[in-house]
Amino acid sequence: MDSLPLLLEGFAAALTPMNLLYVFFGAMLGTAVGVLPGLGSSMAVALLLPVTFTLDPTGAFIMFAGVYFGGLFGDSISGILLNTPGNSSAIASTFEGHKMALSGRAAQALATAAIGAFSGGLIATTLVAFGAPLMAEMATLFGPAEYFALAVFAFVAISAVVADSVLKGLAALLIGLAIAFVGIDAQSGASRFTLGIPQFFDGISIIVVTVGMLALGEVFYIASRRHHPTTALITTQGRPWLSLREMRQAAPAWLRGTAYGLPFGVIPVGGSEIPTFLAYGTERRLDRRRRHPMFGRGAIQGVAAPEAAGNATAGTAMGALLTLGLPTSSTAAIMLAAFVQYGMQPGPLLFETNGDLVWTLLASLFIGLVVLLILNLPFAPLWAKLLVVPRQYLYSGIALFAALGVYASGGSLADVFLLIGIGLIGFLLRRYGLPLAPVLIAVVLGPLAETELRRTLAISEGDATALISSGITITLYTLLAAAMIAVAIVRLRQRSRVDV
Amino acid sequence: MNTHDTPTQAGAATDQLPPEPTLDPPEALEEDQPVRLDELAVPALLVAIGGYLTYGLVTMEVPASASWPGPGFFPTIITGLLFVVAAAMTVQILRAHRRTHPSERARDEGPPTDWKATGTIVAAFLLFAAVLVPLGWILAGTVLFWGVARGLGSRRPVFDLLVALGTSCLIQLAFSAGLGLRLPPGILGWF
Repeated sequence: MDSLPLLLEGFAAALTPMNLLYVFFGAMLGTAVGVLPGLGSSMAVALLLPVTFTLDPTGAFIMFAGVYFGGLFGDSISGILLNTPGNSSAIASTFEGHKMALSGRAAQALATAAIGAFSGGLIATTLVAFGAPLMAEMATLFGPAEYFALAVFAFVAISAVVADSVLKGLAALLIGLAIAFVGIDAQSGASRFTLGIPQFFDGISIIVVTVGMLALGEVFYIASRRHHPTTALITTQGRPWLSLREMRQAAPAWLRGTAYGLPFGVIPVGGSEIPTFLAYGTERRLDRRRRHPMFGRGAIQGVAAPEAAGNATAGTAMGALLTLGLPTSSTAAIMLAAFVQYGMQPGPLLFETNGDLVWTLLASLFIGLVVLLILNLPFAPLWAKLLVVPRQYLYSGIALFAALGVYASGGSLADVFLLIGIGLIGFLLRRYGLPLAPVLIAVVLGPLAETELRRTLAISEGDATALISSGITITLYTLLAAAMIAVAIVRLRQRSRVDV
Repeated sequence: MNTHDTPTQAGAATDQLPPEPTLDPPEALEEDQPVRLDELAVPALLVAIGGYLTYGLVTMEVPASASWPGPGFFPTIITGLLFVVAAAMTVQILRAHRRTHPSERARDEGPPTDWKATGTIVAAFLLFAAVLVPLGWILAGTVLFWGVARGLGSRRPVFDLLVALGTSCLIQLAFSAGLGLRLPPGILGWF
């Protein structure tokens, strides 16, 4: 394996006292943002992106690594203690996690989540480190038609398969695609949907969309429902360590969860929602066969598996981003913006052009995971104290940070007004139960999808069959059709059951 | 369930949303149509976006050098889809609306939507954007923080003002002096 010496070099570059300080701060800030209800890891990365602009690339990436995994873990803290998962990826581990907390085992639930996140992330990052060069080689097989197929796969999967109503999912997707159109068309140079306003020529930044949709939308929504009842925060006590017996119960679940999570980082279905639920479902079925089923009363496996799955997905998603240049979640998309900021173009060539930085980043991911484990195993309950801050100040702070992040990253007032507009759309979507993930995926992959579609059609001179002329594209579309049929059958069954 | 719903949970939560008190009179009078017609806001949004795209497509100046498929190709497809989905949604909402029995509405009623709170926060943001450059980050940030806290139901204006000013100053200190981000100094920069 020639990856090992390169990785070790990466560690050498990443392991300086200053960088350790960055990853430490990143992990702290990421966890803090992740803990806040409604804000997840993608928000953490979006809000802290402007901060990292002032650092050198190595320092910035190492901080990102901390923010990235820290945000994911923060999601689960609020889920377990408050029954409000910070992100859709933390919903699955909330079911049993909150029940554990209710039965006085909050500290153990948090520890299970922390170790699960660590092991899932560790295995995934190891795979990425040693498999990435291979994947980059495979990626050279991908032409315009294949990339378009991948994007279509992502769009349909997230709007039709993941969302609970196909129409609502599609509506969210189309809104995202429309947002992505604004700006100068790179291929022809035509100005599109900008109303001639120069500030719009560069398009609407993914940061504005993420912060507006997630943070502002949430603040508006919370305000509109402020008379609705709230749940109480559970205080944690007792040992944050797991007994040997608990370890024995959780260990296989961590591994099973990781196995679910790994492939989903590479498949663009919008992050870790599907694998976390698959992992949860499996554990539940396994539990039914046991002599003393624990599900419904706070089963440790119900926390361990989804948590490991979520972080495994996040880990391999990084691999897909680095080697294919394909962001499979909004978090990855914001990271992509960071890469571009430093003049790096993720894709098959990245390992040759920016090899040293990539290996440093991969090493930083490992360091970030370790720092998080150290930080979170004993201190997770402390993070939860953030939730004791009075709600009006918590959300005022979020609003202030949202405005700061957007203004600082673009330095333009137009972005602040856009932020308000997108926040209002986000509010509307929340209010009427439309999923937000398709909007973000569409903004991320929309430009890629359009470019590749036009390239394919230009090469084939308008022959649409060029879109399905290779083995890879046929496989992707077949998989997609199969998934859709499966979902349709499941939904029809559920419907007939309800009617009876 | 709880106050803040994640995107996926929001779907379940909206079922419990109360009907809007601001229904148009003719609709409110029809007794067998109790379901919230305000759901039509979503197709309306889609139509608005579709309309904007149509306007942009019609007025787009395509450079003569652009080859097929040009800059309008993909947006045209998406605009068409926007109208199709909007139409399908409208039909779906109207049909569900007709099916729902009036008694189901009464059962699901919860606390009403607080439009005043949301309005206050939106206003705070607009004011923030308006005064950010002339007054500077610290004062604009104070306005924003104070407005959002007020919108969320805080009733201690003077104390809030102190918290807002403190937070805003802390951010200026940490990000501008500490990390070197450029934040507008505004009038405080004159001193």
